Amino acid sequence: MPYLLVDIDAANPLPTLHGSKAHTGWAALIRWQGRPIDFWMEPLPPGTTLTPHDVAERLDTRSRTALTEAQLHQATPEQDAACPAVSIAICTHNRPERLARSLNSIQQHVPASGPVEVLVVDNAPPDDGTRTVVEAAGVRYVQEARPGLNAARNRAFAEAKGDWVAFLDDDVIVDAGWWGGLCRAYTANSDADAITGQVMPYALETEAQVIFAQRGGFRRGFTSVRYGADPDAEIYPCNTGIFGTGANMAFRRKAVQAMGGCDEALDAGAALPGGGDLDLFYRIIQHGGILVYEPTMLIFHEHRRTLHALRDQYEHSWGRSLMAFLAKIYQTDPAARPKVRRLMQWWFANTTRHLLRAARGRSDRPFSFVAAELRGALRGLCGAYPRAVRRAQRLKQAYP
Amino acid sequence: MMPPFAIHHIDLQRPLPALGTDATTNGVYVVFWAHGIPLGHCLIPSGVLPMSPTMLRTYAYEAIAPAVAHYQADAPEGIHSTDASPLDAVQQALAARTLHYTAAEASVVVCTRDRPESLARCLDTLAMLSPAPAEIIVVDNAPQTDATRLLVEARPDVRYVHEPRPGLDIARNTGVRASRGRIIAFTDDDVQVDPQWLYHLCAGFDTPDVMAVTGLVLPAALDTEPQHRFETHWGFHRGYLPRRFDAAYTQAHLPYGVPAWEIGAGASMAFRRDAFAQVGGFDERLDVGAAGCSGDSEFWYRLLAHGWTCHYTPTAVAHHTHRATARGLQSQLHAYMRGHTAALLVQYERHGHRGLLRRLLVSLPLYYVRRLVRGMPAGYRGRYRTLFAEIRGALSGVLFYLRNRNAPSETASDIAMESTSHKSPAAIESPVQTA
Repeated sequence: MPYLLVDIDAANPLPTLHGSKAHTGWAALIRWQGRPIDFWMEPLPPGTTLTPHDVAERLDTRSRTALTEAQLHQATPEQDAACPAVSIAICTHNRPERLARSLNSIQQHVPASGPVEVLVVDNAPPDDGTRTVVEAAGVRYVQEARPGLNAARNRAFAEAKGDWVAFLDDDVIVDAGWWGGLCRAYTANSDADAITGQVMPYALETEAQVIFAQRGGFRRGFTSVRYGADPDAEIYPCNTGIFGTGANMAFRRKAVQAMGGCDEALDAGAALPGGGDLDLFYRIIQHGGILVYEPTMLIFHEHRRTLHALRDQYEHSWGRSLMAFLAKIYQTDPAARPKVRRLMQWWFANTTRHLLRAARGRSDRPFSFVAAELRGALRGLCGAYPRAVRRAQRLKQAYP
Repeated sequence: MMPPFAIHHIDLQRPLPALGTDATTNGVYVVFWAHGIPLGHCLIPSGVLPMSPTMLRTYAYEAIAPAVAHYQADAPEGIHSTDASPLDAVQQALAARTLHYTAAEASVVVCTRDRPESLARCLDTLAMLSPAPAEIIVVDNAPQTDATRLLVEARPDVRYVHEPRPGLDIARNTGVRASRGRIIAFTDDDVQVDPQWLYHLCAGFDTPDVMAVTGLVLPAALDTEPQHRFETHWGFHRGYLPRRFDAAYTQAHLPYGVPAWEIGAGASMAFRRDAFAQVGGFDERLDVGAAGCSGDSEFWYRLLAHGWTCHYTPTAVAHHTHRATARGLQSQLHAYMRGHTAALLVQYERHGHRGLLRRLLVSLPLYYVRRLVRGMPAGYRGRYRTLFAEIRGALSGVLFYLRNRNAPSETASDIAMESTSHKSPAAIESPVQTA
């Protein structure tokens, strides 16, 4: 079931890899002189050993273009990175061990002189567990009683001292190059209002984690992309999944506050667990801002371990919340309606195709997952967003 | 993203500029060059402009990486060297070529029909060829006015030849007969060539089995939606990687009908004079009264069928102005498909390869059925708008062939002048096998 997960720098002598009797495959994050450039997964018989020659062969077949691209960058002297004034913000709810691990990785890999501050927003805490961890780490602690991830994010925007707020989820590990990636993106795009990064799997120990990674995980490719307005496009920017993910996203504080902050109906805990990041990305683009995807701003995320939890995510985060978010755009942005319709048509056609394929056993994900996603999507279209708005209003009254 | 797009050519060996905003365009089509050759391009929407030089560099490296990786693979140190810049491998590859022909041994032939303004621009660029060709010949095909003749006679460096019988392939054969060079390069009257175009085409004849060389054809302008649609879904652009279409390629594709149109575009092609001695001239039944299509690919197919190699080299660069109007695009695609099906039948007649029939009777109809189905939800807009014109063209090509198959495929007189001293390789055997 598990995959052997390795980190290979192709500029160094290549390693020998020993797969145990449990490993059913291997996955490699490929770097060139520290810079992440490619990722691939390959099933292998248990107990396989890969020699450096085997690894080199695969690099040649799969990563040749990526290596060339990295070498082209290496041959060009890099401009001095201009780093913005950044508040790193972690919004968390009742996961103190995970949070401790995240904070540890930040302390290890982010230069102390880099960000203005590290800020933890403790969201609707049931006890002092988070506060204890934060105080032990010596970073800034803020409490947000109103439950909901987007409520916590709004609090982070309000409290942050930096011009930029870089959000990290409480269960991520930053890569050694994460801060450099953020600065690199900012240097090349100092007019950007948002910078998103890439998410690699931290572990491929369970079936659920392997399935998720095989489907693409949170990966968005290894080349930087600059996104802006494109009114003639058929679907863009409604296909917000391409922009990045909430676990690793940074915003110019003033830009988000000028848009009215995060929509607390979305990313609202179990009631509507997704869509909050999509909504921010979408509105940045709609307001004419620039969003930059920077793959070297890399974090590792330990994904849901159990199939049950992953299926829930398919249903509630990616099915229901996505559709609720699209329903929101449909309601609030009349000009975008043709795009939303086209996207929904495509999404349902594509997901149904996957469902049929999965029924025949030919899909990369189990039938129950695709079915759950469809189920969630249909529920998401049946008034999920208006209900979420009303709930958010009630919460605002309860926790002013 | 909808046109108009500005077209920029950027030399990566110079400091990169920032890309500024331009209210008159919706985006920028940027071609990236190094060591005098193009290596990649990207299309950048105006919504992300202005763009800093640093970010442009990132886009450039992504665009050129596949071509550069190809040149690196040929380089002696391989791709894992950490010392040199990968672009050095490009320079090495270019320097390592053995040049068997110089441009001074080549004739350039331009066939034209009643497009003097376009032709004038083409001739302006031919005048800049460096090194210069042995001769430049304009074949004035069935003209309705004197305009072309007067234009050419005003240019002492260009020779005028009149061909009254209408037909692009008839005109091409006339051009071959009128020329003296060991290499004969063709371009069209709506094309503008780079100064090194002929040099690189000639350099493409790097091994004895190469009988034909084709070059990269970039769009000269992407001002209108039909031009963009043509470039995206049809186009003459065959990519930035050089490619050899040899006996192995031919054998591999024979069962399904060798797709000889992949080899390049008639807008930028060159042949050894021997090619015509070996396999005859262009087939004069094709391209009669049409916009010019398939006479070139039929000839390449014939060369492949005789065991010769065609070489696509993107180092030879030309720029083609696509039809700007929807009507123009429609009629062009109608002509394309007409020529395509007629050529398939001509090829079958000449070589008996069953794969060609399979392509005509199975692959092509299936392709159009799929597109008819896919285009329906879209209301046959966008890329499907020309669908019916294409289908009509394909059918008319079949009819055209059936009516004209007994017409002479070649003019009676000998197409090639006396053979040059070029030795045909004995080792290459014709792989002509009936499938």
